[in-house]
Amino acid sequence: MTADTTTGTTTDGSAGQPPVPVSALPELKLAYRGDAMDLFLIALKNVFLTLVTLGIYTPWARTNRRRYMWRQVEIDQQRLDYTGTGKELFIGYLKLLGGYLIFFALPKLVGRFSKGLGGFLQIVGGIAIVIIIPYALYWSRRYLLGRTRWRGIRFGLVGDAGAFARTWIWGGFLTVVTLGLYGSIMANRVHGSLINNSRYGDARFSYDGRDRDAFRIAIRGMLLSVVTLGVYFFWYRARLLRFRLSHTRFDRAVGTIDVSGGLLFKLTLINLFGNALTLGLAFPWTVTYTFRTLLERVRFVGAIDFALISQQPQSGDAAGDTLAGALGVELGI
Amino acid sequence: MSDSWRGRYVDGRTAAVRDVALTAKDGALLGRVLDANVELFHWPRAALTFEIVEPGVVAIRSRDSPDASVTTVSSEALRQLRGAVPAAPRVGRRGRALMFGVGAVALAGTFYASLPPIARAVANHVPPAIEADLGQGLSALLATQYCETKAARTALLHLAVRLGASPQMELHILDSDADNAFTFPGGVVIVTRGLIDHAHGPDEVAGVLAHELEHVRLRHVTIRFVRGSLMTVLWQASVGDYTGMLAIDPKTAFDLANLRFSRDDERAADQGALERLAAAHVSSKGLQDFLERLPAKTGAAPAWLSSHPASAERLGHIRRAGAGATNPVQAALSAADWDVLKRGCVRTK
Repeated sequence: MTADTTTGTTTDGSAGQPPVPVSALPELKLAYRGDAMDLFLIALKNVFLTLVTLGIYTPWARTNRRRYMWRQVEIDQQRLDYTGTGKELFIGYLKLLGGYLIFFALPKLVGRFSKGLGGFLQIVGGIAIVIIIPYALYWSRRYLLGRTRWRGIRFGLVGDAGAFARTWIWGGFLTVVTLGLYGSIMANRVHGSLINNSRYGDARFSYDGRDRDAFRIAIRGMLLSVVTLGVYFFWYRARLLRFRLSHTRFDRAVGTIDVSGGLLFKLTLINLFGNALTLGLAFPWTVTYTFRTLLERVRFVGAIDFALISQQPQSGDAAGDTLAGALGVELGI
Repeated sequence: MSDSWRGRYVDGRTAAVRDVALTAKDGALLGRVLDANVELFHWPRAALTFEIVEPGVVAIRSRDSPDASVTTVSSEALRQLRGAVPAAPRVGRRGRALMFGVGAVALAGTFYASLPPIARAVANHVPPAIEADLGQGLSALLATQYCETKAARTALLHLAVRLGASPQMELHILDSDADNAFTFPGGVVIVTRGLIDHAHGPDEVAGVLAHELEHVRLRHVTIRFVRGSLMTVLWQASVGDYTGMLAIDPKTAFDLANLRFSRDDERAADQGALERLAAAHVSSKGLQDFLERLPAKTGAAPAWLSSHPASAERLGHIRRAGAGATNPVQAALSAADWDVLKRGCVRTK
């Protein structure tokens, strides 16, 4: 960290002045300061209390883990805060249970009196599950961002979950029709939609990665992965990561990640073998190592005027997060 | 004015971070702009909360303005505000790891040990209509692979009824080369074409069928279903958040663990099958021959055995029962019915 991005002084590049060399631009560095043993202890405590309470502790367990992991993420020497609570997640689970009863138990119950109507409701429920996946993704992201605070200011996700769902469903349809060719464009649009609607306080992130560039990277990645019997896949993923970060902007800063295919290959091997050989017990160590390694390679280069960023109301409902968890479609953060 | 120390302050309204001078006065925490006498905040002691961000670094907040915070590394701050700062846990990290680890293992062990009776009790309260619904739903998934002729189904049903089954039960022949037979909840029994093709006589089919009917009577499938669900729910509740990071699929792990229960179930089903065969005057030699013959024929555990482990103990029990039998026996099926059954699968592929 070099230049002072914290005082709130605006550094306007006035006309006629020479452009600031890239090396002189302020940088926001990321880091993960977590300790694997601490995470292991939290996991043990969570498992213990979840068992004792026959599962009721689950929302508090999730919150404990998140609170710890968020706290270990450092951006520009300031840690993230997780402000979600176990109570709101518990209420989210109750809402999920209500939804479950409506979608699954009700058709069964109706089916006892009218097989036709029960069957119809089951079909409607099945279709609803497919449609609700992108909504769950969006709502979950909105909840998580709404509970993430940095420098006293909350993140958030604005925009319409419906528009995101349409991008997702239509993209999924086109991906099937084009035998997967459209997949990279769909992924780019979905990613773009999430980034463009993400905000920090009242300031928005933006993503300008073009579909055709994402498509070119994916086609090259897939072809070379086939030729190299899958080995190139890690280099493809690294390239995609670099592409996405380099097109992510916030204020006048742009993201960058210094990650290579070799590093992703190494991380995958460490995660795979570390967890397989210990039946998963080593996950606090593999997760900590992965987070440390990846986050310390992420930077945002360029000035950000923090004094002009102001607080916004908290957004998001925990039910969306529990729904995404139940559907197994969490995006993380 | 008392001693002051430095901290970094965010007001929760904008993202600016300010270096501030902090002082404690009458228990309250005051923050001033560094090198200027401009007060930024005055937080009463009663509203203060403390969080250790990392060793030596404390974040202080006021309940009245929860988004604002000040972080400080000053030991003076901790000294002056002592009492409100959370104390370091008395038990060390290793001690806590041991405590929670032993506790979690003990609880999981207790739960695992008490699972069979719990699952049995729950399964016994599942209404037969729901069991039948579930079984028919599962059976429908295989419907395109059922290949039995009407005559073959009737012959098989007669055999099942002779072995004590209800005439209303659902029976199918599955178009598969494997030597296999299995049941679904609610009394659906399925035998494969391979099992009938490879059988040396109707007594072998009768032995296997009697065994499967016992699984139905003892509701083993429903119990396994309930047990599996309980274990999955508990697993997800315990470590669900971490499963994405696990290399081994918990369900696979549980299926492996479930084999131990299966062996118990198999012993019970064997015993019941022997009783059914005796009551129907069918020799138990068929079941014995079938179990003995299969490993030698395939050189590896066949499908039926892989889910129905025939230990030496089980085989010994069946042999002893056969040797001690004094009941007069008749062939399980007439030659004509056996012929119908042998030709009873119209191949689907």
